[in-house]
Amino acid sequence: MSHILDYRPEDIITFPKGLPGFEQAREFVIYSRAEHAPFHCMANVHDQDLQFILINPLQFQESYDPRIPPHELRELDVKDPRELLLYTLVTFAPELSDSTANLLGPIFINIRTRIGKQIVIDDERYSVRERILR
Amino acid sequence: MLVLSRKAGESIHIGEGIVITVLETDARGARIGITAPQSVPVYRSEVYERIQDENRKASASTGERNLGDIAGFFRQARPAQE
Repeated sequence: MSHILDYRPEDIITFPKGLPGFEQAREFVIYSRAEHAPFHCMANVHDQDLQFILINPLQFQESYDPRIPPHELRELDVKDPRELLLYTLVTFAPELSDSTANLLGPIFINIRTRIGKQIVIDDERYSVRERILR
Repeated sequence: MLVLSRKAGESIHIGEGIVITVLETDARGARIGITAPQSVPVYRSEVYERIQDENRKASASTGERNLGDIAGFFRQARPAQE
């Protein structure tokens, strides 16, 4: 990533409550570049050193089907399922093939309202460290 | 902290619409039933703490590595499904 973030104000995605562990980090921009596929980079607009790498969990676990409490969707003001983007946060391991994604804390983004939320899911089928490669 | 003693089958009401019931207890722990309105998030404390912890690890996990190089490794290891 370049050290100067390049974005327009309308690109900003707001997480009203931040993310667990980063409650003060509310405004992010997501960069999706062909050379970074299947990953996306989510950078904080006020602290460019704070970046998360995202992956759509359906890319490595097609059966992923988190039970989202209905009030969480209401908070995101979802009017049409197509306006909702799903990502998970990636933790790269020293040995890249051991890298994992957090399936208990999926990130939902409403692209119409540009509001994002990391939803805590207490679901014994999934873990915070799910391997990306089998 | 308010401390109450309960036996299996006994409950505690909290505010409106929240009921905590002790279903059974044994040497391994207690099974708890929770009735709450849909607007009240319910999860085990350690799940939230694990997500906090994993978020901190995730944020620094690229390290000095270049995301383009990392992505190349994954594309080679697993054909893209996009």
